[in-house]
Amino acid sequence: MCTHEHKKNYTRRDFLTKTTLGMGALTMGSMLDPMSLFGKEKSLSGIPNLNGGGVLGQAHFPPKVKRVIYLFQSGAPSQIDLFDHKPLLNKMNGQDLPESVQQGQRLTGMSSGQATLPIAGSPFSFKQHGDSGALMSELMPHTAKIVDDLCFIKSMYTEAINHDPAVTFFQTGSQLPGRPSIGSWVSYGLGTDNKNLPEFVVLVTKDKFGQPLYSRAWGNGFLPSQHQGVQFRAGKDPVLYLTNPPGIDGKTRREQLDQLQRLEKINHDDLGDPEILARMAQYEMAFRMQTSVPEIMDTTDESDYIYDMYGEDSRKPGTFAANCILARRLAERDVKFIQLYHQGWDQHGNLPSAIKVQCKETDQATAALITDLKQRGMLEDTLVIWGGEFGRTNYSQGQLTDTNFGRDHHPKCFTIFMAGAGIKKGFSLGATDDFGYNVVQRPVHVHDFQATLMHLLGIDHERLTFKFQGRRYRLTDVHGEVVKEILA
Amino acid sequence: MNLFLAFDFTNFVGRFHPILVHLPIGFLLLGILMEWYQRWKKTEKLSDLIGYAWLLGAIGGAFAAFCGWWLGETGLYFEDDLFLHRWVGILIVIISLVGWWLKKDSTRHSAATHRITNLLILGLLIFEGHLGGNLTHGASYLFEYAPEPIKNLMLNEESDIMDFSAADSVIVYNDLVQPIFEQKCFACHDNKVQRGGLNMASIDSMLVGGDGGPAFLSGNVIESELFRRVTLPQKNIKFMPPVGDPLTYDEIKVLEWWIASGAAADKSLTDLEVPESIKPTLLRRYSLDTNPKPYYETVNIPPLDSVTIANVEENGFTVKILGATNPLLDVKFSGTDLTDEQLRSLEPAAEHITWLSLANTNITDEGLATIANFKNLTRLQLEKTNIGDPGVAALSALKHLESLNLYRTKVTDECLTDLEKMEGLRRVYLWQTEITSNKAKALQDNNEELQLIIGQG
Repeated sequence: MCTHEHKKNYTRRDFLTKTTLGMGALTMGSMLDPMSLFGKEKSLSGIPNLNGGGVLGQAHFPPKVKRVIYLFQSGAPSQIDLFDHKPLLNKMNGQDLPESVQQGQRLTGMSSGQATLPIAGSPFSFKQHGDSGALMSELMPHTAKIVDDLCFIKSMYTEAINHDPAVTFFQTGSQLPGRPSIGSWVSYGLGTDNKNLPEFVVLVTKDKFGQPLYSRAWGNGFLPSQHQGVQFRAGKDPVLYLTNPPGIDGKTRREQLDQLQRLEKINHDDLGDPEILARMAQYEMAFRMQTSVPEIMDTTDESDYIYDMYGEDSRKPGTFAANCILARRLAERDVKFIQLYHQGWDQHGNLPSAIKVQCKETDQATAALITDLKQRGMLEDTLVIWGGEFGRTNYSQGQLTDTNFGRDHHPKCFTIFMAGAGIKKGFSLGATDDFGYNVVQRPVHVHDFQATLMHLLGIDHERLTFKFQGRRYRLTDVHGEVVKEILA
Repeated sequence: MNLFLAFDFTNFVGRFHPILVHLPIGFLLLGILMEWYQRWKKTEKLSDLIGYAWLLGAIGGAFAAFCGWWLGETGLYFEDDLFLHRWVGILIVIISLVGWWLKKDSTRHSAATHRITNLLILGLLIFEGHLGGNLTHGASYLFEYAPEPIKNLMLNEESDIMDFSAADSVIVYNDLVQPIFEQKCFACHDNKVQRGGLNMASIDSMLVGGDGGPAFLSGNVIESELFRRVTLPQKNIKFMPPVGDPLTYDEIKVLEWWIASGAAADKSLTDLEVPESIKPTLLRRYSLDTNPKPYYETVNIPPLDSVTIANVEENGFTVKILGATNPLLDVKFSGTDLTDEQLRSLEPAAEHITWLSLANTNITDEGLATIANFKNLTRLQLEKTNIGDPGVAALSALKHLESLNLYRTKVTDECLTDLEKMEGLRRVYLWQTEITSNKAKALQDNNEELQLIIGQG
C-alpha cells in the first residue's frame, strides 16, 4: 500500500489496467484460494485489524523466541577491553599499527590526521570462565559468572563509522533515516500478545550523555504509526500525556473517546487515510495504558533480594538496572520487543576510567536480568541481546600514556552477545585476527544479525515486506542471511 | 622431444585451436555460398575460386585439427565427447580435400554429387561446432536460458537439487562426496581416462589406486594420498586438480570427514557421527541441518478446524498456530480464574496443543488430569499456581514434555521421583518451591540430560 494513493483520482489508464489485469488476478486468486474472495475479514489497506493481530496472521515457521529484550549499548563498547582478548596488542603496546593490518581502512576524521596510530593493549586482565571457557575481562565480573548461558558473536561488522548512521543501521537496516525499526517490524508482523500494553517499548537510561539518540531508532518509518516504540520514562509520568487532566474521570474519558472514534471513522470512510486508523488505535492503546502502565512501573511488589541481585542502582528509577527490572516486568506481561538504551560508551579518550563506570552501571544488572529470566523459566522463549553499534580501534586515539588512552570508532569487528531461546549456550562464533582489527572467521554483518533475529521470532525476513513509494521494503533491504551456526 | 619438455607443448599448441578453428569454417561456407549463387544465376561454368576455397578450408582445418588434438591431451575434457569431436574434425578435413578435388573440375561430376558433398560438409560443420561448444561450455550451455518447455525437452533435466530435508535420506558418499569428484576429478580419473593409473569412479577402484598407491586409507586422513594432493600448496607440481578450480574449503572438509569416518559407501548422514566442526559446512554448503529437530516439528497431523479453535478462544484462551508450516497450537489462559468447564474446552484440541500456559491461574491438581491426555505437549507452564506433588504425578504420562515450569508452586521433594519418570523432560523450573537443592542436585547428577533450575534467593 502506498500512502500517497489514498485519495487518488482514477484515470482511464487505471481503469484499463484494473479491468484487464485485475479480472485475471481475481480469477487466479479465487482459483488458488476460494475462500479469499469472499467473507474473510481482511483489511484492504494492508493494516492489521485494530484488535492487535499482526499482518502475517501467524508466524512463517514455529518461533523459538516470543519476546526480545535488547540491551543496546549506545556509543560502542570496546570489544578489546571486554571480550576479545588480544595479548599481541600488549606485546606491541605503543608501536605503530602496521599498514598490512590496517589495509587502507577508512578512519574517522578524529584519528585519520594522527602521525602514528600507536597500538594500545588492554590494561585489563582476562580470564576464562565457566565450562565453556569464555574469555572475559575483569571489568564484567557478574557477566563472567553466567558465560555458560551466553552466545558470543565476535565477528560482527558494520559499514557505518559514525554513531547515528550506525545506530540507525542497526535498528532499521539502513544508515539513512526513514525506515522502520526492528521492533516496529515485529509489531507490524506479529501483532500483540497483550492488548493492554504496546508491542514495542523503549527504555532509555536517564541522565546519560554522549552521542545523542534520536527517536527514529524506535520509529515506525513508513509503517502505520501504532507500531512505533513507546518510550517509558522514569518519574511521575512514564508515558507523557497519559493521565487525565484534573476534573476528568475515566468514565468521561471513555465517552469522549467513543465519540471521537465515531468522528474519526466518518473521516476515514471519507478519506481512506490509513493514518486515521493508526490514530484510532493509538487512542485506544493510550486509554488502556492509563491502568496498565502504572501497574508495570510500580515496582514495590519486588522483593529486596531482587533489588540486591540487580544491584543498588536498581532502586533508583531511570537507571539501567531499574530499567532491567522493568524490562523483565514487561516481558512477563508479554510485551514483544523491549528495547533498552544505555549511552556513554564512546570513549575516544580516558577509556580506562570511563569504561569502568559504564561496566559498573551495566554488568551486574545485565547478568541479573538473564539469571532472573532463567529462574522464572522465561529464557525458554525470551531472547536477551547485549551490544553496541560498532567496535573500537586497537590503536589509541590521541596520546598513549602508561595510564591513559582512548579508542576511535572501528566498524570492521566487534562483539555482541545474546542469551536465551533458540540459540546455543556457552558458544562463541567467529574470530578476529591477532590485532583485533579484521575478522578472519565467519564474518557476521548487521543484516545477518537482523535476519537471524527475525528467524528466531518465526519470521522469514525476506517475506515480511511493506510497499512504499513503489517498491517493497524489508528490514534487511536486499541482504541478510540467517546465522544458522548459532541456532540451537 | 627436448623441445616438448622445454615448455608445456600440449597446452601451448592446444590453446591455438579456438583461434584457428573458425577460419576454415568460413572458407568452406564461402565456397558453398558461391556455388549456390552461381547455380541460382545459372552460370555456365562454376568459378575456380570455389575449388580454392575448399582447399583453403582443408588446409586451415588440418592446422585446427592438429592443435585441437593437443588441446584434447590436456585431460580437461570428457573422453566420450572428445573422441567424437576429434574424429569428426578429421573427417571434415578429409571431405574438404575430396570437395576440392570435385570442384577443381566441376563439370566432370554430376550436380547431385556436388549437392551431396555440400550438404554433408554443412551438416558435419554444424554438428562438429555443437560438439566443440559442448566441450567448452558444457552440454547445458545452449539451452540453459531457453523457455521452460524447450529447455525441458532439450536438456531432459532431472533436478540436480537433492532433497536434503531429511538427513537419513542423504548417503554421504553418493550425495556429498562423489559430486565433488565428478566435478573436479573425473575429467582425468574415471572409467574412460585414468591418468596416473587412477580411476576414481568407485570406492574400490580408488582403493586399488594409481601409480602412487591407493588413493586413500580409510580412517586415516593424513596418510591419504588423495587428501594430501588436494591440500598441497597450489604451486606444487603434485597439486590436484592441476588445472581448473581447486577444491573449496567446504569440499575439503567434507572429504576429510568422509575419509576420517571410514570412507563408507552406503552410510547415511544419520549413521555417521557428525562432529561439530563439520556441521557449519553441511549447513552452509548443503543446507543440511544436522541438529536434532524439536519434537513438535516432527509431529505430522492435519490442522485443527477453525470452529474448534474459536471455541477454545471463547473460553478465555489465547490460541496461536505455531506457524504456517506447523499446525500445532500455543495456548495460554489469559485470566486467573479458570473453571473446570473452560479447561475441558481444550479437550477437542488435545492432540494439537504443544505449548500450554496455565500460569497464574487457580488450576488444581485434579484439573491436571485433563492435561495428562495432551500427548503432544512439549512445554507446560504452571508457575504461580497451587499445583502440588499429586499434580506432577498426574503429568508423568506425558512422555514428550520437554520443559515444565513449576516455579512458585507447592511442589516438594516428593515430586522428584515423578519427574525422573518423564523420559522426555529436559528442563524443570523449581525456583521458590519447597524443593531442596541437594535432593535436586542428586537427581540431576543421575540424569545428565535433565536440568533442574532452582534459582537464587
